[in-house]
Amino acid sequence: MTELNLGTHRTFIPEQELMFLADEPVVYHCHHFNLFLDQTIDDGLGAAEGTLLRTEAAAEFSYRLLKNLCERTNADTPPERLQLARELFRQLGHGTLEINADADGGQVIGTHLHYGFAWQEKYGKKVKRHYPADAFAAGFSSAAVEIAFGLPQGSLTAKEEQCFALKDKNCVFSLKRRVPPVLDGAPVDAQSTLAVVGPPENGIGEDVIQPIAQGLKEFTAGVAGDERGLVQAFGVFVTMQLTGYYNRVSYDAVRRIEAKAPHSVGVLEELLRESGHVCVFNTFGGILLSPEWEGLVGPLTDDPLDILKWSIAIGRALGMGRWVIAEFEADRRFVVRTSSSYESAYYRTRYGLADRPVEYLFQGAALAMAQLAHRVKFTEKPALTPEYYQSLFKGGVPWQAEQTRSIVCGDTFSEIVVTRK
Amino acid sequence: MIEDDRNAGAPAPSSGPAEVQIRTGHSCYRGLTWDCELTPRKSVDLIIAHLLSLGFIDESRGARVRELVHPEAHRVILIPSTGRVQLRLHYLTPPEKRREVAENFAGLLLGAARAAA
Repeated sequence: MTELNLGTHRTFIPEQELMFLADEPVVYHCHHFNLFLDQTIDDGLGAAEGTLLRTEAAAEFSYRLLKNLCERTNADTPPERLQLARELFRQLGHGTLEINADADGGQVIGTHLHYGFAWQEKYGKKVKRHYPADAFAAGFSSAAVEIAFGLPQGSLTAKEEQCFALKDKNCVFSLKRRVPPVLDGAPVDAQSTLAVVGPPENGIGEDVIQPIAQGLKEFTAGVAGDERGLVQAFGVFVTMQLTGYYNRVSYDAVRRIEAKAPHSVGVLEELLRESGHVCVFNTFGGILLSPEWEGLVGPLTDDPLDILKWSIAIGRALGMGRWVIAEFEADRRFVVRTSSSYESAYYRTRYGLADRPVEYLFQGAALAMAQLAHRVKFTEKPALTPEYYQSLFKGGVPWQAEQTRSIVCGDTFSEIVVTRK
Repeated sequence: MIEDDRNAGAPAPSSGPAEVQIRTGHSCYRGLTWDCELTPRKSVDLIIAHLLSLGFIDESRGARVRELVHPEAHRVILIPSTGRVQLRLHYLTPPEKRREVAENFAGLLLGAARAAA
């Protein structure tokens, strides 16, 4: 078995800025986004159904990633495959797993798990949590044991019995055998993604954006979890996460709400868009204000177009797609396009065409970039606190965003027009 | 969490409060990240050489962002082009000691800057 090094298995589709790990689509997101999205799903579906959906989504896409990586690293025996799973989990920034299980099930103990640990750090002193937080680790754990022992996908269930976010010492998962369900979701990989991207475009400021994006991609190639299995960078906890997880939980939740309570779909969609605000404020803002940015790119300015160019470069480097600035008029109008996004790639592959644009993260991110570019004085190096987030995004955001073109509706690119109210 | 003897064996910090201003970083995570106004940029390379002689380990991933690791696993980020310095304390540093450790760390850097001058 060869040693796992994420950088050697990480690829991008040229000029589309979509990232893959051993052929499975992945993206970098921070704990603020991760916690917000999970909470959105649970708020929409209820804690039990939300947790189950998130666990199943994690298991589905972790299984494929682990299968591919076992083949690539020649991990053939159960111990080798379990070791690979543990190391992968750590390097992705999800924490540390101790797996004591075989083909009949068993127990997994997690420490410093990204979701539970970050939840405790972010909310633990203010909020009492009532149910476990680590559905992703649960699903990953069941997939890891299935792969290790050659079981069909879905042969194990995983339930988090103890959780650090509930003030337990560690997170403990029980794994049990079951008759595997029929899984009929189409694979979403590099090949299927290529079929649903448009021709790459250039936009305003490409001479700035492209080299920065490339430099950031090179800089992040060596990023991996520390001895805890956490990636602590830019003031946030970062994960390289499977986009299939984000997409399945988001789109399955929307479809379930459409079926059960169609009048509530708008609320859920608005929260999914807000996840884009959370992402841009915390991760993009954190990167821009970091010394790493200053070294790689240079000092910040308060010119809105500079901030937008840099934000577009960050989005590309994190694997969110080939975002381009199509139009810009300071304090009035910002039009952002993309020929590719991890949301549209998943949606088109799984469901075909949609009757309305559903690239929620892209929609929210576009508005948030406009807000950051015009309202944040980056040269004053503000602290990115929850209070500052509230002041920027709650109660009167002076922008409105409209998605005017959408790959999921059959266009060759997606476009968000952000204008002043 | 770690114990009070965490600083044992470290390069000698300044004896009192550092003569250099530090403030929590923009993304300060519970007192772990501190910005430090320290030095003219032309002396960054000399400061780095001095820190290496003190047992720091160079974990830089490139010349434009220098990252050195303190023997106690604290980190310092130095940007040669601008002179920006950021201290990143190890996450096991006890919360009630973080400011003190950061000030001592900054004092150590100040000493390196003076030695490099």
